[in-house]
Amino acid sequence: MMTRSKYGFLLVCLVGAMLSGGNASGQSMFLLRADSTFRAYSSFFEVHGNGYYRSNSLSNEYVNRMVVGGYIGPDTKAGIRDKLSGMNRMGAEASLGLSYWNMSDSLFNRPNLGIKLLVDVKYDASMSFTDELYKVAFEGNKQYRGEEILFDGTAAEYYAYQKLGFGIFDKRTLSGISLSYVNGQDYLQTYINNGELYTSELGDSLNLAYHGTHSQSLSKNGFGTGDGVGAAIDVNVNFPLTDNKGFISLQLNDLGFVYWNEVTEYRADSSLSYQGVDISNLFASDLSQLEMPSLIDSLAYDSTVSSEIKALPLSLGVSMLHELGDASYIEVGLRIKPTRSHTPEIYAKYHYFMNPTTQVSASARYGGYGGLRFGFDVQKMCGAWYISLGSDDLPGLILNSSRGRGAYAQIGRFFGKI
Amino acid sequence: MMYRGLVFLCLISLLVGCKRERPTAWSAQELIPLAHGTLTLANLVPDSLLSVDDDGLLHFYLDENLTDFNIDSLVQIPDTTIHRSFTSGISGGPFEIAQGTSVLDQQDENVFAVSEAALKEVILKGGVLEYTLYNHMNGQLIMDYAIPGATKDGESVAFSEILPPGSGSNPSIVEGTIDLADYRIDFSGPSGASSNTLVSIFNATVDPDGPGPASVYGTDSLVLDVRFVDAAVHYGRGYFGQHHIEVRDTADFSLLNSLAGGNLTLGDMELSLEIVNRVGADAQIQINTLKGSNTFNDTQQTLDNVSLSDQINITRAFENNGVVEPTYHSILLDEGNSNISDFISNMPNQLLMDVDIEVNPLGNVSANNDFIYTDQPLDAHLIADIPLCVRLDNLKIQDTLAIENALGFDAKGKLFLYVENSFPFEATVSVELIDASGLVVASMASQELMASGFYDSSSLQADAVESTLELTFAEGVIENITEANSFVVTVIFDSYGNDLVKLTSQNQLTLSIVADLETILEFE
Repeated sequence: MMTRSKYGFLLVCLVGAMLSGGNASGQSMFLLRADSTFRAYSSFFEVHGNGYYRSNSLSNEYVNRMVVGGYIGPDTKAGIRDKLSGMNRMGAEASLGLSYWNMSDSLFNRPNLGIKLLVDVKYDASMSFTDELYKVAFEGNKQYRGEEILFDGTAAEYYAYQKLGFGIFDKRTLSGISLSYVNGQDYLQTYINNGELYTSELGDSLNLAYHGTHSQSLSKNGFGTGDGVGAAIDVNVNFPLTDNKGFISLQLNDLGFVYWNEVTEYRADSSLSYQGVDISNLFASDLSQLEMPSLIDSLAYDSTVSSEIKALPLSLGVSMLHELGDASYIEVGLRIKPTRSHTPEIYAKYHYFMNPTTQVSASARYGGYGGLRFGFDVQKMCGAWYISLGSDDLPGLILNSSRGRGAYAQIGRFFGKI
Repeated sequence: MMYRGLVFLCLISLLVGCKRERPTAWSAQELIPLAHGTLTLANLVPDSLLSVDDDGLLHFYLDENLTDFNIDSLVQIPDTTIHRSFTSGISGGPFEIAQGTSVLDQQDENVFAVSEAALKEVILKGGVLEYTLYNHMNGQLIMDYAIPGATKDGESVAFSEILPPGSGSNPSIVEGTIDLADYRIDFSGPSGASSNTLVSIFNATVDPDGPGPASVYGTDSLVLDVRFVDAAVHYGRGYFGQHHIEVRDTADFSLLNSLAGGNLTLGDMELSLEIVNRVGADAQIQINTLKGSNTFNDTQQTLDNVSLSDQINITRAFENNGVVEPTYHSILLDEGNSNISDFISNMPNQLLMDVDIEVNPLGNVSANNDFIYTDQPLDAHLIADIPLCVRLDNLKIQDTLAIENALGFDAKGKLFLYVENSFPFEATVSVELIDASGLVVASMASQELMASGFYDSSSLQADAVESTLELTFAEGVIENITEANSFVVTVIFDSYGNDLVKLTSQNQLTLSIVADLETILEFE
């Protein structure tokens, strides 16, 4: 029979949530002994990694082919076609980081305050697209002869950045705030307000109307370089429930900006009609010099290069954790990313202690970039060591027909036993 | 140990799991507009070759150069070397020669072997003068060389070189070149009465600023080699001599060189053979035969006309302040005085000529003032004014097109040609892809018909008629569009009805070419 200090355990749960960077897809439980013996250590060091992609329409098999290569066959396309809705979305996040928590000293003569240091590498990508845009790209425009293809609202965003931060936290509730220096590596944003492609009945003309913007600042040298600097704030606030059987948590991550020194912005609001090469030119010029006109080259746009401040991909979360029994807890939450492609994500998670050092959790989620999915994770303490492994979409790890794939892991160690 | 293993697995999955092993590819059904536009005869034929008469009928004007008779060969200057060797002529030695003393001062006349022509003057458009100087004397010399008769912008061809001391067995050698383009060369010699003769001046002095006096044996020599290489004549004047030139020439008849069979009937037309003499020399021309050859049908037709077989005396051109005034001789050929209908109906793609020419049959009547600008030769043209009033009966045009696949992707499907034709003839199109040995790799179109426009003989108008032609690209055909393979396009024309139809500037083809392909798209 397990015995535990409920209050101390719940605090530890929150530490887990904080260490995972507030990402709802990261582990939400940080398992320690129920008597919260973590307080017997003066510091904690951990490394964590998290990566996933998810879509409400594109299958794992499709993503595999796009990333690793291979032929996207008719069965794969049929599976996607069945799932397409008017507006579809896909997103991906990847992060790798480490943090150090000092719990021994008091800060500003406040014994309940600790300090922490963090380093994070983050990638964030998302896009939304119409079903017709997908079909014309992967099945061709022949099926749309005599029809208009609309791709209003198509959007894509991509951010790559690194954070080096310093923060303080309350040792009692583990509420905390951190401020980070941000190195902006890559930034890309595309939005098509209005887009329309018409293929004539015979296929002898393509008419394209488009209105949108594309801006980017991409590093030439990859990781750790880039042309932007900025700052970010991460906040985590935990309110104990009045019965001391749980917490309500509010999380805010990557509230910040990057000042990009050189952002190239393309703006387009035009239309064109493409009919191929003018056949009279075949007889008027040297054939060896003749080039087919390119539809892409025919697009009209304006471009500017300027310095710009762009917001980081902010995420907001709220959750409630509540004890169900001696060894089980329920957690419900909501996560929001205010981007065009992300919908509010809700989740429920059941935590169960198999023994005082091992906890397993099962979750169900809906929204974000994808649909309904089920996850599982396990967390384990081995002396001063801590390890956590899990996935928000367990079937997605093995099923090609699933529409997302991801996993997270964390390894930590306590130091300086008091 | 467990933790290290987990970290290792995570890194491997990140680094290796995402490695691209092959291109991403998928198939798509695409409708791609490739080409569009309207074609009239003005698009197919240069404006200068087309004209419209008062009735609106188009005329085709042909001016085909048959031969330039190679008259410029008479004034070609062969590569020529002037070799001169100088010694003191005194036995013994060594003799000391003080600095500043002249050891050689000589004027020389050199005769060029210019065919049988006696040239007084030329202007060159190319060529170089190369020289090599050998000094066997033990003293530093200054060698000056000049050709006073070769000038450009008032300056003579000349060079001055310092020759380091040499010895009898080991001479010092100095080399150089001078570009002869645009030099005017006086070949009349020092008296002005000679021809093909060039005067040159040599001078050698012991260098007054050299290391010291020269020490010379009687056998020591100074050797000069001057070579005229690749001299190309732009203008020549003199007496070109009397020559007999035989011209046995074959000229491609470009208008019809794609014809591969069938019958072409033309309305009334006129041909003329025009000989233009821009050379300042008289000529006597005898046309032995002028044949048209259809190499596809392996048939020949001799052009018969009484005047053609007559001896043609063509007088010399005149030169007025550098402007050439040519002389002409024209022979008109029509239905009444020749067999041009048979000649043209044979659809020759080659013209075979057997012509004899006598140059200057009367001798040197110009007092050595024959002239030639080599870019303005004596030549013969075939000039035709053909009203485009035609009847096409299975007229077959065949061409071979070498097209390299630049698509970068494989595809199968069809090319659709949507045509609105207001020409008064129909066309049957076949397209095959053949390999280097002529074997058919793929047949893309067989007997695809473009219908004739509806022709009204009274108004000369033809209402447009729509047709759709298909070219099929089976799987793998695009991969076979390589440098080694070629397309053979065969078009058979038949005119509207059984009578002659007249072509006007209103006739046109409106075309759209659309690819309907199942493509394999891929990216690396």
